[in-house]
Amino acid sequence: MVRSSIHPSLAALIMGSIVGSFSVDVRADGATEASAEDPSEGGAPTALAAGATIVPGLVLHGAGTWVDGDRDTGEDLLAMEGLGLGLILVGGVPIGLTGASRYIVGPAAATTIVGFGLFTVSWAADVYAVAAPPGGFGRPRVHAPWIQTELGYRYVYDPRFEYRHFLVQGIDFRSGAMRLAPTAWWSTATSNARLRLLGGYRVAGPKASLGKGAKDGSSLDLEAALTRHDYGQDGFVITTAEVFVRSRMDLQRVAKPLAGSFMEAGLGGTVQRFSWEIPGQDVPADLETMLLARFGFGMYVGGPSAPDGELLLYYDHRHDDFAAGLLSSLPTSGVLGHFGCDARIFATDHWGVAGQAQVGSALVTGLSLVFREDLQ
Amino acid sequence: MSAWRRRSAFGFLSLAVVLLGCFRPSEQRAQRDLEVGKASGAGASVVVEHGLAAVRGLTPGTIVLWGSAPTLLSDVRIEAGAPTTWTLEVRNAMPSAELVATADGHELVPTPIESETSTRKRWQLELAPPTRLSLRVATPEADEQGRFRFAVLSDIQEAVDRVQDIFDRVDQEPDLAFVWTSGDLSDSGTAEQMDRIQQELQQLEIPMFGTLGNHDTFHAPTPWHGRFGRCNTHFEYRGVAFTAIDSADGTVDPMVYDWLSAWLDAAKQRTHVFVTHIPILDPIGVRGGGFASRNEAAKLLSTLAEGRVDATFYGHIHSFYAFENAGIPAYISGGGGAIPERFDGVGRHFLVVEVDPVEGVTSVDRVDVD
Repeated sequence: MVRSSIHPSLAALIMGSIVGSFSVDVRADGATEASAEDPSEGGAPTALAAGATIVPGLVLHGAGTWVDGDRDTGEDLLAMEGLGLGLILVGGVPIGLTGASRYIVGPAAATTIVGFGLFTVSWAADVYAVAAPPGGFGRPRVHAPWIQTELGYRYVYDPRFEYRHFLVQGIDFRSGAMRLAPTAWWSTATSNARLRLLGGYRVAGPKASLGKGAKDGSSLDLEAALTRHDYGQDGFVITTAEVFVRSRMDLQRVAKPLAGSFMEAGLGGTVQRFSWEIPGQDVPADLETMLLARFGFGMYVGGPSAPDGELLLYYDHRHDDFAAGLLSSLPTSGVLGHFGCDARIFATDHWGVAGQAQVGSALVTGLSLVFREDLQ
Repeated sequence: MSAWRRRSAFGFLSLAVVLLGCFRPSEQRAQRDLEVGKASGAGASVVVEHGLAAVRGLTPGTIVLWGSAPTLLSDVRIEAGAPTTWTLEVRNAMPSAELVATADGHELVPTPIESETSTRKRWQLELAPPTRLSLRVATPEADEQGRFRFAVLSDIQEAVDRVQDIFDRVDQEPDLAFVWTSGDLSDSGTAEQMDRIQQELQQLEIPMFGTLGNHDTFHAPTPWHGRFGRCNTHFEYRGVAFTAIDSADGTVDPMVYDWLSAWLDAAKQRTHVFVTHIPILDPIGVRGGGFASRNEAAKLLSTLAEGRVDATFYGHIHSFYAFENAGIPAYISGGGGAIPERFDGVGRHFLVVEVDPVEGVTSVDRVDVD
């Protein structure tokens, strides 16, 4: 059954996914009417199934679904976890054995991150499959809007920089499979601005076009972007040229109880130019490369007509945006990229809000007002 | 609010607090830097200027320091009733270091005590407590501007059992003033491992100064401060400025940026070399072996360039790279024996760097041990 409003257990799922405190109480607060007879229809989870997503589910992904009676989905998720672990080994072991040799580290790191993506998503999908009502919390839109604009505020806490407050503007034009999306972040108090122009081609998935629309929300995009980040106050400018392959797969293609959820993954690379503005010196610019990699797990909310939206939890290997790489007291400090959560909810066919939170070297959080319009 | 909501909210807030606390992972180490070189008890109180030595021992009649710089200045107050004979021991000292001591403004005549290693210096002082001592441990040429050489050696980690031949090779190199390290002297930063490497360092005929690496921080709080001293140091020797900065977490703490700014200003007119463990930007960008934030990396490089730093030295990557960032010559040397980067033709090694107070860094040569 498809719901056109936000399910009451959605917040519980988010919290539970993040802090691991998800329990049977979730269901007590948001029971569904789904039949428990047919596991593929996503019946109410038992305390045992909910608990199994943690123990042994954190180790054996799919355990919650399996305990819930849907053995096929559970085994699929376990296989996904196994594939992820395999890729982690395929990528990670050579890195370790070769001391991160310059000749293999790029592909090996990309393989490892993809492996972590599958590993992580297989667990998140298990939690989702146990907690979500039949059909999920929402359905994807099968057309992309031809225009989407955004105006918002971001708070950036990075103790190494003075900036804190940013005005964020963005326009996202689509015509058929083509996309052009300029965005800008303006510091309100310091001379810091990040301007970005992204161009994309949607190979498959919802497009800004009339007609039947896509089968679901799955998509494959080829993207190229140019970013200029001006740290006027700090004496440098970073200009980044990048290419990126971005994909989204609706997970109902994997198993029916995962309807309404999706996974994202992407890989790419950049060339960066660091130019220096040092008073009294003519300092030559530096060129650098960077691996881009990203994976995430998300769910649709409401939809396909308003109110609708989506929520995405993700890992982004970028080390050059405001959030950048994750700092911690662990040995991995500085190696990983950042983690984030993006939420986008439209109350009407045109107006919505977008929320963002990222944790890396900095905390980035904020809200935007979003306007969209579909082709009529 | 239902029970699950309360639990979830509490869990989320706890997670947020933990994450927010991680934006300055090296803050505690920077704070502890401020306490290095200070001790009191046993009828005396010791303050080493700029924290450039760790007080390893303070017992009635004995002060033991571990030096973090070629020149050490200390202020010592001896209380009434304290012993009249005191021994000052400086470990990790320059072999030709001499002690100049004054008590309440009157010069004392220290009696050197023979020591079993060249970097362990000891002197005996006869005092009349209560008194205030000013101690200066330095080589005769410390204040004379002149060209000299030092070694750079980092990333020993688990190879402490094989480091002896590297130390032998360093000792064979003539006229080295000291070894400068970017850290990772231990495998996982335990006190036992740091004691072990300090034991091995006795083999070296010259002292080792510098900062710590990420492996030296795996046990928190790191035992580094009590054994090696500050994680962030700045000193001058023969007209050349040396700055070592803690980047073991892939970042530099904001407090340290303030110190660095003052050190750069002070040394702007002279040759200045810089060491930190993590390369600010990894020359192999897709590896991501540099700072966690490229924005911070650029900010630090911009700061160093504005401060007219002459060369930067890094470890962390177990190979050798020579390149430039922000117009500053940069060298990665992680040749202390830790798991090497393969296929690069570089084995265990150290660098020999020649510096001139006027001309800057005049040469950087790699000395292969394997």
